[in-house]
Amino acid sequence: MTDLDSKIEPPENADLLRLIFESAMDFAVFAQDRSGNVINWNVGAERLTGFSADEIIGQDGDVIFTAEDRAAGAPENERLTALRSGRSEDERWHQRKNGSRFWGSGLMMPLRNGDGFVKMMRDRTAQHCGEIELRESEERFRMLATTIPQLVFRSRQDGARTWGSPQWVVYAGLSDADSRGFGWLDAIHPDDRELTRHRWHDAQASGEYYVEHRIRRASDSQYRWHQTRAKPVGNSSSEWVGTSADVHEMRALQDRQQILLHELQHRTRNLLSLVQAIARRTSKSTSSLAEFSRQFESRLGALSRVQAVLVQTDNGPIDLEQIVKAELDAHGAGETARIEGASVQLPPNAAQALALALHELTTNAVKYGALHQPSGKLSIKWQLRHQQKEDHLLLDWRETGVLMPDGSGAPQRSGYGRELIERALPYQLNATTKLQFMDDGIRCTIELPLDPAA
Amino acid sequence: MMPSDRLRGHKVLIVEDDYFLASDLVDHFTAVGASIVGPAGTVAEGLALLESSAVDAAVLDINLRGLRVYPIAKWLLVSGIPFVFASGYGSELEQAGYGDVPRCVKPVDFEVLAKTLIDRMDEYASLAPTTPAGGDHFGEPRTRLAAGKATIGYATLSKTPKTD
Repeated sequence: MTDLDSKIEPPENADLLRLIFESAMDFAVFAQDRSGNVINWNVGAERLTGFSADEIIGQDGDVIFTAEDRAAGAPENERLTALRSGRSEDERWHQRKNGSRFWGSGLMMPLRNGDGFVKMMRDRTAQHCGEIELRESEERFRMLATTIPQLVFRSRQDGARTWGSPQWVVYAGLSDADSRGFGWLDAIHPDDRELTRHRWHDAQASGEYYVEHRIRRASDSQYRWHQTRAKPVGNSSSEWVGTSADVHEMRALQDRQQILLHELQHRTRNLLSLVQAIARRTSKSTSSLAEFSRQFESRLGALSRVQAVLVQTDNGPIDLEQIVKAELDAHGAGETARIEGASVQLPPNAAQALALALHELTTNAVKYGALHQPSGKLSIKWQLRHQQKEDHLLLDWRETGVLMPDGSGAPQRSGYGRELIERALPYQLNATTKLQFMDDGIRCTIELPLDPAA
Repeated sequence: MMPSDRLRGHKVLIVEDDYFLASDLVDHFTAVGASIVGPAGTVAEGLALLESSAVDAAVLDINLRGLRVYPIAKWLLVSGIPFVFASGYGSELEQAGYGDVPRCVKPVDFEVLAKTLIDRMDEYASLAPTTPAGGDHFGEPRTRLAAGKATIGYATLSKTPKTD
C-alpha cells in the first residue's frame, strides 16, 4: 500500500480519497489480491452486486463473473492483461448475488505494489440493452425494408427523398443517388406527377401521405398503378417513411367489377322490361285474373329457366339441346318427345327468345296437342345449314297424331305465343318462322341466322 | 298543354331491338296521335329509315343487338332533330358525348317518356321555331345546334325523371 500511496494518492489526501472511494454510489470500486480474493469493497460495489463488504472481503471476487466466463478463464485473462499492459477493459454480462445479470463496464488496473488489482465498474445494462434494441430495430427495419415486395423510402416532410430501398432501385431503374431529392419523380407517370407532389403538401395537415399513381417498371417500361403511403417517424415531423405497393391488378379487377356492375344493371333493367311486356301481353289475352296468373307464372318460369342457363355459361354461347330439354323437362315431357339434332351453340339473345318460343309451343302441346292426347307424338329436329357465308339453324317442331278441332278455327290459344313466333323472332333475330296447323297437329319451323351481328 | 296533343301528327322514329318493347312503344305513341317511323331493331335499319323518311322526333334504345345506337344519335344531332334515350344503359352516355341528351331508364313508364320527349321537342322549338324538323338541313341545323348547345347543354340528365 505504501507504493500505491506514494505514487497515486498524496498522503495528505488519503482520508479524502477513502471517503470518495467508499461513497461513490454509482461506481463499484473494489480491490482484489493476485488470486482474486477481495481486499476492498465500496458501497457502489455492494449496490451493484448485492454482496456486502462483510460477505465478500476475503472471498473470491470472481463470483461476479458469469459461470460461463469463469469457465472460459475470463477473470484470469483480465488480470493477465492488466498486468501486461497496465489496464484491462471489461465489457460483459456479470451476475449479482441473487443470480440476476447486469452489463458491467469496467476497468482493471494493477496495484503498483504488485499485490493485486483495483477495479472500477459501472452498471451499463440500460444503455447496453438500448443499443441492442436500436441495433435490432435498425436491422429489423433494414430486413423489412429490403425484403418486402413494397418499395420503401425515407423522405423529408416535403417529399424530398433521403433513401430508397434496393427494391425501388431495381423496380424504377433509378439509383439511390438519382432518386434522392425529387429525382424519384422521374419514375412517376408524367400525368400523375402533379398530384403526387401536391399530396405531399396535403400530408402536412393530415399527418399521412396517400396517393395512387403510376410508377414506371424499368424491366418492361410499363407504368403500373401503385398505392403510396407515408407517415412521419415517431413524433418527428421532418422524417417520413413510406411504401409503394403495386395495386395494378387490383385496379384492373376493380375496373372490371365496375363494368360488370353496369352490365348487370343493364341486363336487370332489360329483363324487367321484358317481364313488363310479357305481363302486358298476357293480360290482353286472358279474361280472368286466375288465368292471367297461371299463364304469367308459367312464362316467368320459362324466362327464369333460360336465365339460369345464361348465368351458368357466363353469357357465352348456349347449347340448343340444353334449352329444348330444359323446357320439355319442366313440363314432364322430357321422355315422350323425340329430340334429334346436331350440336348447335346459340348466342345468348337468340337462346332467350327461342326458349320463350319453345315454351309457348310446349305449353300448347301439353294443354291441347301431342303432349295432351294419348295418340299424339312430338318430334323436335334441327340442323345447321351454311348459306351465304352464314350458319343457319333450321328447327322443325312437328306434332302428329293429334285430333285437331273441327272447322277452320285453329287453336288460337293466346295471341302472345303466336306473336312471339311469327313477329318477335323475325324482328329480333332476323328469323324466318312458319306456324302451321296441319290436319294431325301443329308444325312450326324456325330458320335462324347464327351470326350474332346479323 | 296536354302531352297527347303535343305529339299529335308528329313523326316519331322508334329504335328498339326488343320486339315487344318496340311494339308497346308503337301502341302508346299511336294512341296519342303520333305517326310512327319504324320501329327499327338495328342501327342499319334506323339509318335507312332516316334516309328515306321525314322524322320529327325519336326514341332510341342504346344497345341494339350488341351495337351502340350512336350513329343514329349523331345523325339526329347534326340534323337538329330532338330525341331521347330509353335504355338500361346510361352511365356511359357522358363518355360517348351524349351526357346532355335526356334519358329514360328501363323499364320505361310511357307517360314519363312522352313528357321527356315533348320537353326536348319544346327546347328545340324554342331555339329555332321557324326551322322545319327533319329533312336535309345539314348546313343550317348544324349552326343552330352549335348556337343551341350552350342553352340545351344544361343538366338535362338531372331533369330526366327516373323510373327505378
